[in-house]
Amino acid sequence: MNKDQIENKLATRFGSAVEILKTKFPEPCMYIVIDKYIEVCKFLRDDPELAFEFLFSLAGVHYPDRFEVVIHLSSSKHVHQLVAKVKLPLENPKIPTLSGVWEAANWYEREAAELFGIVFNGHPDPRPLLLYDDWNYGYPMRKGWTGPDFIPMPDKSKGADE
Amino acid sequence: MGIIEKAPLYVEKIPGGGIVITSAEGLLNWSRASSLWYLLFGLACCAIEMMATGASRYDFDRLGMFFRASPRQADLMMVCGTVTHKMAKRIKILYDQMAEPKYVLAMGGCACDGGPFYYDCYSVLKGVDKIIPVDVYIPGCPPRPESLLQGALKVREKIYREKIKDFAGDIPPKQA
Amino acid sequence: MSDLIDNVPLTEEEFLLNMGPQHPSTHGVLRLVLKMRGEFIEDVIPHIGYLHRSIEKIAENRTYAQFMPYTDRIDYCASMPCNLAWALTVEKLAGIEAPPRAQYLRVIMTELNRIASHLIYLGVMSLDLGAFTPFLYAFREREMILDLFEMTCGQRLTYNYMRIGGVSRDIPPDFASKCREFTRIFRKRVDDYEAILTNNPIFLTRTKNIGILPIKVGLDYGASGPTIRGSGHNWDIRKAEPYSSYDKFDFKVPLGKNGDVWDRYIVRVQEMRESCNIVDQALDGLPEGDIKAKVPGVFKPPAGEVVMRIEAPRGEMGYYVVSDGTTKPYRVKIRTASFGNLQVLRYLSRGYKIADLVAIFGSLDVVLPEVDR
Repeated sequence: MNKDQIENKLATRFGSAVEILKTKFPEPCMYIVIDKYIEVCKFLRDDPELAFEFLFSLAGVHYPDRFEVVIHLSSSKHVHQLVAKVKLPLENPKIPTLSGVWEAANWYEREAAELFGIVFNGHPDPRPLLLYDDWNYGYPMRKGWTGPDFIPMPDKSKGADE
Repeated sequence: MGIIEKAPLYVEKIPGGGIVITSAEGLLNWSRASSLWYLLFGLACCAIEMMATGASRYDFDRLGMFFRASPRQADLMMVCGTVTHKMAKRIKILYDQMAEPKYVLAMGGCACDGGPFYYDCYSVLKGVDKIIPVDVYIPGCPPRPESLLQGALKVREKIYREKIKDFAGDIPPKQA
Repeated sequence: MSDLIDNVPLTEEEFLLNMGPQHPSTHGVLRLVLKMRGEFIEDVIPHIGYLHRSIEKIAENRTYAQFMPYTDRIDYCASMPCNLAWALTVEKLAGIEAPPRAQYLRVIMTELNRIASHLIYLGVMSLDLGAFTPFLYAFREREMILDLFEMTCGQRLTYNYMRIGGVSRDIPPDFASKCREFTRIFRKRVDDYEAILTNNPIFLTRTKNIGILPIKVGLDYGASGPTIRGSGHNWDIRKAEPYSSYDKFDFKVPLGKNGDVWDRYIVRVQEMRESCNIVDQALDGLPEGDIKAKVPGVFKPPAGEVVMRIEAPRGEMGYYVVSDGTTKPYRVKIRTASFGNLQVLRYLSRGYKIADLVAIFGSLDVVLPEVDR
């Protein structure tokens, strides 16, 4: 299925819960409302015409006014891909877990939780993944974070001192 | 090492004792340097160059160096690759498990002082010499196998210059 | 006295065994905590993060061109594909296309690096199973490939060869003849490796019917590349969504049947032969022309988001870049193949002994900096 067919199918099925974005790339890109998040993902996985059985990645992004969780899906049966995003508030970002839908989401969500501070409700194993055990210096991937042993690159532009 | 530790302090007082000690030192240093067994401790990219140096084209075995998997059986620890804070505690444990005399070789830019991960990096220890004493530093990213061979030869030179007095203590004061 | 020995019933308890971060067969710094019942493994809990170098945080403070050397260090066994994926992602965002000569050179370098990476796999996997000779043979062949790379770009391991818009240097005049010599010799050497390992009774006992991965489970866990092609799933991005003129070459995608450790080994050995074919075809058809498209010195791609993936030797690898129109990216997410492949280990190793765990883990071909980034 090409980009327009996927977008039409999702728009007719879910209406206003899915907000399609216009991009110049061949993958359809959309925002999903957080209440319908799991339902839409299960539909994307189970529908025989879409058949997105492979979760390529799940990333967290920190914007100045919100967090976003971005998932990339792909299907080997129909050779198409999809990008889906969910907006989260800056205080107390919570989102249901995708590890019941795709097992691969397990470690991606653990990583996003410890680096950004996003809480994934219902995650089977919410331990930190990459940082060391007695880390208590905050969430490092947020913009503007500083911590111990973090040396920012000095400004080498003309006119700046070393 | 009890007798060897105390021997030079007493033997040197005898006329002609210095010759005995330097010959003994020469023998011990030669035997230690010709058969340095290194700990298989590859962390990152430099580990592949260490494996390539141990393989057929650049051979470590001709210098008598062979890899051992356990720190209890190794003399030389080649820290190859980036040291993170999470791994630093384990490196200290491994270093403590090695038996004296032991030597450490920091291979690559990351082990010397953080390398390309010096700026903007929250999880990398900037240099392995912050936790264990290092004998030889080999810069490069990754260093060529020839550099690593020269580093191993420098460790050998360092061993040849050692004296038994470095391992011995002073003569204990006579208990009156 | 004999009562104490003869009539005591033997019990089996669960205990935890630590395969620590420094272990000869964990291929890097990975810690596995094994829950054992007697000799058999009930559960494997991997602890990662011992090589977490926060490359994604570094990316937010470097320009697009300055980030290229860091992509080498994500997967150092196969750093040309990592370079290529970054170059393709940024080119997709900015709408640049590399000239045809650059695309063919990229294909040659990527395929040679695929052979080098599979040779490391072969050597290290046989070392884990106890055979030392294939390790030395594999590294001898790999030195020939590294000579070719050194002739072109000066480095042996982390190349920094691709640039946004093309490649950095053209090949020297005697590259083509030396490369053809290499592929001619290498095809015979692959037969030598197969003669040692493929039908060896010890190798077969240790690898046949061990660690069978069903396709559905593998896709659910995010496994890709030879790990899932060993189970028979016909998916290769070079054929399905061709990039950088891969659609002009004729090659087969080897598939396995059962999905056990032996099948994954055979898939990688045959991929080495197919890569030789691709390199020969690319050298035959190498067009003349520029090696780099015109890219402005201060490079500012348009604002937006892009995702691009390629077929790296270990599986699917890609980048997700969010750009805000300045010279530095806003967010870079690196998706690596070994992150998905390692999650399957927990499913695959239940009920096996530790020696089988070593064989299964070797067959997944995991490189730890890819997992930790």
